[in-house]
Amino acid sequence: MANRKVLLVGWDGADWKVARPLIESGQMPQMSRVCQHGSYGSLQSLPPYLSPMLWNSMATGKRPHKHGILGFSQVNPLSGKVQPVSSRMRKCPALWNILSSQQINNHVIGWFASHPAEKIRGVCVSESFTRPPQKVGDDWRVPQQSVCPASSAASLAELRVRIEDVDQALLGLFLPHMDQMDLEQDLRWQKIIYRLAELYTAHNAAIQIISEHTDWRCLAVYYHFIDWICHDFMPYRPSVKTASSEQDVRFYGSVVDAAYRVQDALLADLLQHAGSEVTLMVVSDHGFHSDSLRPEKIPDVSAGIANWHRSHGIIAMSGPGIKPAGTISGANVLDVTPTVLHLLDLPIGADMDGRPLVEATLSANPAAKIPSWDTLALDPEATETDVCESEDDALLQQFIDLGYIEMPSNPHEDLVEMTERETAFNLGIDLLDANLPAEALPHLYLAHATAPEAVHYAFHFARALSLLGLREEANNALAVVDDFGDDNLQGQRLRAQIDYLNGDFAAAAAQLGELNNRSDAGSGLLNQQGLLALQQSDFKTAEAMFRQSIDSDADNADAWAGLARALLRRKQFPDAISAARHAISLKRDMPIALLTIGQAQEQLEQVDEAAMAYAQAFQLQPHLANTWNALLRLTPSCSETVQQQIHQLVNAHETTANPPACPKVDAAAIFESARESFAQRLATKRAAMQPVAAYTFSVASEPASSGQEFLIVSGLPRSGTSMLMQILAAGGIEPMTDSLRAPDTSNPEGYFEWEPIKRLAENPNIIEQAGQRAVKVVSALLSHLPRKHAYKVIFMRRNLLEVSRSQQAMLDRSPPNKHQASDITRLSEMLQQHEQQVLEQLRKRTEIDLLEIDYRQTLTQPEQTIRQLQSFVGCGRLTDTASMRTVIKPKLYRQRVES
Amino acid sequence: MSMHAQPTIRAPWPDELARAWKFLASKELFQGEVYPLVALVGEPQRIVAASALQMHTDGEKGRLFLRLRTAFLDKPLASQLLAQIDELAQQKGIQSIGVILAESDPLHSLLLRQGFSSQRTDEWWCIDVPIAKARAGRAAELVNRPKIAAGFSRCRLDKDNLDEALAIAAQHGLIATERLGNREIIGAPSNSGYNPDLSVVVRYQDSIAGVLLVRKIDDTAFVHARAVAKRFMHLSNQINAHFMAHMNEPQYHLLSHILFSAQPTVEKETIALAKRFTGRKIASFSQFVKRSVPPNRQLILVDCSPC
Repeated sequence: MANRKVLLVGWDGADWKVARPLIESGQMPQMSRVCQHGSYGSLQSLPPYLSPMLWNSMATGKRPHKHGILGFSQVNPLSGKVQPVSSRMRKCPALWNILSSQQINNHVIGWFASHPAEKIRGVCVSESFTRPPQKVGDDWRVPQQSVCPASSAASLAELRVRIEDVDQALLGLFLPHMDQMDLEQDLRWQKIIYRLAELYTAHNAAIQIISEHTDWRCLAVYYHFIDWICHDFMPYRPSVKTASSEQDVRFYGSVVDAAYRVQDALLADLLQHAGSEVTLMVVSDHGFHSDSLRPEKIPDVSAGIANWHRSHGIIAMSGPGIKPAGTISGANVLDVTPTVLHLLDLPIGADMDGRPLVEATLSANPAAKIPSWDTLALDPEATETDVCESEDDALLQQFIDLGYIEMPSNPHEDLVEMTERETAFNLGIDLLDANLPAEALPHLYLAHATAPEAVHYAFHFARALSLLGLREEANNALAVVDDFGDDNLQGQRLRAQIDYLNGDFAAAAAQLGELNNRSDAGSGLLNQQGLLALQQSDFKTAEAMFRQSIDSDADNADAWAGLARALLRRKQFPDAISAARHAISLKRDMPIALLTIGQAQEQLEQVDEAAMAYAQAFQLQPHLANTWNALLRLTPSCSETVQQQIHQLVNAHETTANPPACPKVDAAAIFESARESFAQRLATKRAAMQPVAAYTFSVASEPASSGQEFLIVSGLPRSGTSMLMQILAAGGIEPMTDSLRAPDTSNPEGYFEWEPIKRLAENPNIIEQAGQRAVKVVSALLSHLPRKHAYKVIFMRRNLLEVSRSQQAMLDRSPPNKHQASDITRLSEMLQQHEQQVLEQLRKRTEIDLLEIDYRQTLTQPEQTIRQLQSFVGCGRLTDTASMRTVIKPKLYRQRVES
Repeated sequence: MSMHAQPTIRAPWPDELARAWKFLASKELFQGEVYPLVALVGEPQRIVAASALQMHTDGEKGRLFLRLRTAFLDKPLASQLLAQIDELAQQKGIQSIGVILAESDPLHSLLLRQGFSSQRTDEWWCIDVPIAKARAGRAAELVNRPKIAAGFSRCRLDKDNLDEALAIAAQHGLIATERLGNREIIGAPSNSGYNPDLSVVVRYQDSIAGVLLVRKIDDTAFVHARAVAKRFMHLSNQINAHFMAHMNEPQYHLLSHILFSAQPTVEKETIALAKRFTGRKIASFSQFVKRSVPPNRQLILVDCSPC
């Protein structure tokens, strides 16, 4: 086992419901071999089924509330800005950190939220490396910190695949009727091309790393491809519930299957390069609805598209150490890292929520444990870098320090609030799923109180309140569902669920009774009706309801657990055990299913088995009175071995006569505290506000529709824009300046600035005051020029190392302690990125006529620049050529880079 | 159903504004100055109704958007909100309120109870261009197409014929008279004015006999007015044939949809034109007006629906 190699392959959104028929029909030969020679099964996901949370749970073995990745974006607490989730936001070590801390060579490619790439004992390639440019021919620089060590970036960059590199024959695999399609009008094929470029970029990086660094013991590679393709093309895949047109189904109906086939071929390629002695683990974070459970419409809520995601993904393992022809049941995304650690002979952290899937391995040894990997494997350097601002922020700060931009009011204020709300909601859902309703309550309240019209926030908040016994508050929280009137299927279902949780079965029955004949009920309603029938001792109806629910969704663990309970009551004990076991195979933490197994086995006089099941149920939910009583009753009759096992399981509680009390939680106090905290926050916020009696919407204008044209001088700070203003002024164009910024040693001829233009972002119409005058607008503000006007923009370009040095020199002359010396090379790279972005935007804007002037050329060949300017703005406006020539002073060319 | 706490009707706080716009679901229609109101209940306060009175820059025209949750249709809150809107409109100098409702809207009875009366009905018709294009190729379709009579010709809408074209549309009340003489009304192909490629003027001998005034937004055309000069009404069928021929030209083939709005009682030929292109009726709206007003005041159009 010492030299075992583990290849962990992530297929986002892969689902057995799609893969199985393809495997059976020979269309996924590699996956077929994996299943034949290894073990496989479903991998239970975690609500709210969002990929960044899930892939980080996989990589850490911990739930999101522990690892801290709580959605697609989060608010940076230091800057208050919304940022995409990143490796810096993860609060505990990932698999690659743990392995590196144990001096084990490993590589990771493209994992979700792995940017910036971390320093590991191997190569780390972040997901931002794999994203190709959207348009053919666009510049594609390697994003900063996307590869660690950076020395590996160049060789990996050469193997990246652009959209224009994707072969048409490959596209043909996805679109077999391409010759009949109007590819100029219907551009959906472009999505496939883009995702293929991304897929092959990640794959090529993995192959390159495998080929160059052979001494690894773990390689994790993540592919987003299947999920992207499913989101775009699953609606066209033939199904009983396909709502797409016949033509769309014909043209695009096979795209999803083709994606699986391509992914299978790449898996074969990976294995070929990794060698036959590798232990393979293919996993997906969630499934993807492909059948009658497809969502009919996507709710208008954040991440509503995740409604396509299914509660079970895939896991398949093969190679050394893996049981052949085995099935894996009850696996969870949390088990991935513990299993890899176990396969590599490393202990798992006791604070991990997952467990090693030992039943899938040939290992005879139980998994070893240590208290936690957190202190051992967290890189202190990485924690320090956590406080760094992003590259964009640093650039913005640079401009502010230089006095070119006023500190802007936060333009993303709504986005910040929305992100905070969604983060709180996702955290609350995770805590609820972890059976921690008291911890979930404040977070769910925050989401609910920030958007009280949102039904899904209200429902989950009410659920937490119900679980904590706050029934009246739960009912009040759900008042929003009544706003939609009585004929409201979703509202009635949610009400019934809360009534049921509150123990008000009559009210729940009344709510559900009205929905009995609804054809759009779905399996959730059937489960609810089944549970109510159980409560009403109508076991036959209950069984029928649960069976109907299973017919519509065979992976519904709650339906299987309900069926087991109904069968138990109908004295069909073996069938009850079988159904309960199936429920546990889908969702292992189901105390109710274990309790059912115990009860059925007790009836069958299988005392040892019954006692063990009770003990397992007790372990999951210690305050269940009936499990405790059953244990007390049965344990004395059990065999000695089982008694020992039971004692281990129930541990500290064995000597008490009563079941351990449910931990006391003052739920009302928690709720009150959450309310007060929010109310206080709101009052503070509103103290400085007035209600909005009138609001002005700016009318969206067509480009250049005003008929007015303005002359703009722009460029990076210290690129020579002041000199350009001087040239224009000398030539006859009046500059727009207030002369508030006096000449200094940095700009002895003056700045030619106009202070109010620094507020262009807040007041775009300020530009209209410029009239026919030339106005200097710093490059970062150009995007705020209102589109209704036309512009002639003269953009000064200067060697960026010179610009960086000049900026640094200017800062060095400013008061001390205001800033720290910058890394000039780093600064010039940032400036380059900024300049490219600005110029790209300017070139795209139809109302902007752009002239790029070279600073060095202006100083060395002034006549040429003058001719360019005269031609651009019109000779009639720049008549005094001689004066223009005199203001160009080569002696002021400082910070020159000789190249 | 749970008890609703006493509602509050007021202007929204800045932090509620985004929720108010989302509730109204009409934000993209707002222009210029808008006066919002929200009705809230519960703790934390949730929006159960919202309105936005939209004022145009000239201060005379206005439009009101209103939305309320179904459960509050018959509650005092609905009439309280409408009363506050009335008050606001009067403060702004607008004293006649019109309401546009979808055919099946349950708000009809509420508005009638509040003193509104039904004024007119407009139908929206939609042509799915790819389908129409496919059908146009079928010979059977040609049989139903009116023959193009001699003496007619078609030309682009331009600044020379604009005044006369608009006057014809105005004869039928299809465009407001104050728009006559507006030289900016013709836009470039991508602009928001009448699209010169999609609009058309049909001449009979030396006179303008009919006009089709069309706007274009993205890949959808909006037929704002289809009008025939009153003295050529007897030739309406032949003029329609020219409109059809124009709509069969390549510039129309690039569109995804063509939308028509027409009053079924007076614009039968417009609806016939939509039908001949396999158009289907997608909606019908009634306009209600509350006449508690002195004359010569502008109407406020209200887009109003429960949610």
